[in-house]
Amino acid sequence: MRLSLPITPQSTSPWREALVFAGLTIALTWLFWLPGAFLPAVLGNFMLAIGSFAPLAVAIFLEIWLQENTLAPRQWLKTLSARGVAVAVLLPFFILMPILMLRFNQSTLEIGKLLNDARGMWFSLILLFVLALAEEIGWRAYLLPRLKTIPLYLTNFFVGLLWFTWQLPLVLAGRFNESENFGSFFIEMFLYSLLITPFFNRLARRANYSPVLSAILRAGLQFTVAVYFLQGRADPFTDTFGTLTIGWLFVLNLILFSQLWQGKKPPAEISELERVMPLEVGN
Amino acid sequence: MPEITNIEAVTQTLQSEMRRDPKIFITGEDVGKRGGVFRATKGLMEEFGEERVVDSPLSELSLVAVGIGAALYGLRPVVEIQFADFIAPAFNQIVQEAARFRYRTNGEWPCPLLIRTPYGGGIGGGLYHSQSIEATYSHIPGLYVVAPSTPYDIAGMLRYALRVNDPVLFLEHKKTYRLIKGEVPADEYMIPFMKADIKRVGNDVTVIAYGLMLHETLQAAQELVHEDINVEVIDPRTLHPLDQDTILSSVKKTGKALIVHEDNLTLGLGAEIAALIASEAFEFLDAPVMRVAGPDVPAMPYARTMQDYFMPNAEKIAAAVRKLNAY
Repeated sequence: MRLSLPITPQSTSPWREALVFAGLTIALTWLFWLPGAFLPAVLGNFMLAIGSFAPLAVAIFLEIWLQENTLAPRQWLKTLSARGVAVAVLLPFFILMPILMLRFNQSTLEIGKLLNDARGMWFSLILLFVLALAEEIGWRAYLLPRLKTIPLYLTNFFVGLLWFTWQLPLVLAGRFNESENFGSFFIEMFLYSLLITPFFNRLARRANYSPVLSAILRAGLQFTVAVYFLQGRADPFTDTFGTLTIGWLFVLNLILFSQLWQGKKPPAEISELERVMPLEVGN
Repeated sequence: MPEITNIEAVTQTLQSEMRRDPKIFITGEDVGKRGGVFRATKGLMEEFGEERVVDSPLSELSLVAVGIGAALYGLRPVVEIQFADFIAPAFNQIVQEAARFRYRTNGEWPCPLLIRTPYGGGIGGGLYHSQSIEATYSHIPGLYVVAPSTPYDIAGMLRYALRVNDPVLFLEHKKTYRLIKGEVPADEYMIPFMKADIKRVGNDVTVIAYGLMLHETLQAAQELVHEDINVEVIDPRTLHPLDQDTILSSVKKTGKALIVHEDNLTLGLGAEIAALIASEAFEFLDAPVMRVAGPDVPAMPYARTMQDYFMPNAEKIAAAVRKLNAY
């Protein structure tokens, strides 16, 4: 059976490449994640880790299929700046700051234990970064440049939606669910996907579509959340942790993209220049 | 399709248009017997006679004034200013009279005057034969300023300019006259004003350039391909009013913009385009808008080394694109 795709090197466009990438990535990832999410821990985690490489695999496959050379690892490193790395490293703490501060205020968080746990888990940070990089090469380095022509907030919405769809097996299996109420967990994960995506996209865009910074942010977020949950659950996910974090993310989105909410543009009026220069053509 | 030079595109289009419309006549210094200093009107006096190809006195002021009068009288004058540097004496006639007629008569009296003039440097013309004047005249509402850069664009826009019912300043880069060749269809096609052209498609950086700088930019873009930098090159063609949509669409796609012109940097056309991008595409930008332009000195120096320093070229443009791409 011959492989057939709706794009070829002779007949392609950024939009079609984006759609094919999203479709293939979701299909390939689910192949591993659907069984992986429901299997026991060791085997299940292994399947999930393999699935994380699907975006990278699809991106490389499409590059070869379309005879393109858009993924440029050397360029990804060149565009890194100390300020960008600092932002990516600090952003997870900033995003989780309200919940950390609340727990600290309630004396349910021991900073010493938190730091000890973090030190003990340094190897998992490297592992998380490798997995995150594999995912980010697909989502940010391959997909994002192909959505350049649409407005920024629509790009963020589409990528957030695709990203949530991509993670559905994990959500449906109740992974990361610290709540007893699945419905609210589902909604929180949906909102989280939409609200966190602009940060990943912003970091990637600022680094000329390098996936490194967004991978650092992804790994940092997962690491911080993991360490946080080791401190004991003083708050169900959907109550304090989830709601507060998502509320805070919403506020950060408003600040980050405030220029998009400056009100609707008035209907296009004829300018003074068009009035005095009507471009009248004779015979 | 035949391949012709920029100057041949001017001559052939003027010839075919004069055959089409008997109201068209040409006037300027040495345009008749001599055929113009650049031979743009070569052979036209022989074909159309001294009444339609008129050698004028050395007075740009009166040249344009005569053109305005003829235009108001229902003719279609084509006034050639020998070098753009010499247009200054006619400033009053162009700005205060020609450009204002439609406005001051509430549209009753349009002024279909076409002023052609060679501009720009790079030919060792020194202080009085090298100026770029586009920014000064692009500031004037009521005056169309166009600067086509290829034979195809020159023929199509010159044909269109001879149908527009308002004054047009038609800028022809003198260095490209015999340097640039291209195919031109035999049919009488037209290129409307305010339609920019994407001369090269790319994804990484948008470069907006016209005149000789368009060709330098295309050369730089070709060299940058080897460094995996894909440049989109926009030729505005009409400098006033600008085709804002094409420029903005491209910048929204690439997120990075560079404007190139050999006119002085300060308050040049690049400043207006940069302001447009900042106003309408701010949230799409990934880097500051940059400009490569001539230095802020009073005129083009005569010494070759000084001229080379003054003129932007492919090397300087490529360096700016690299900087912008890495931002």
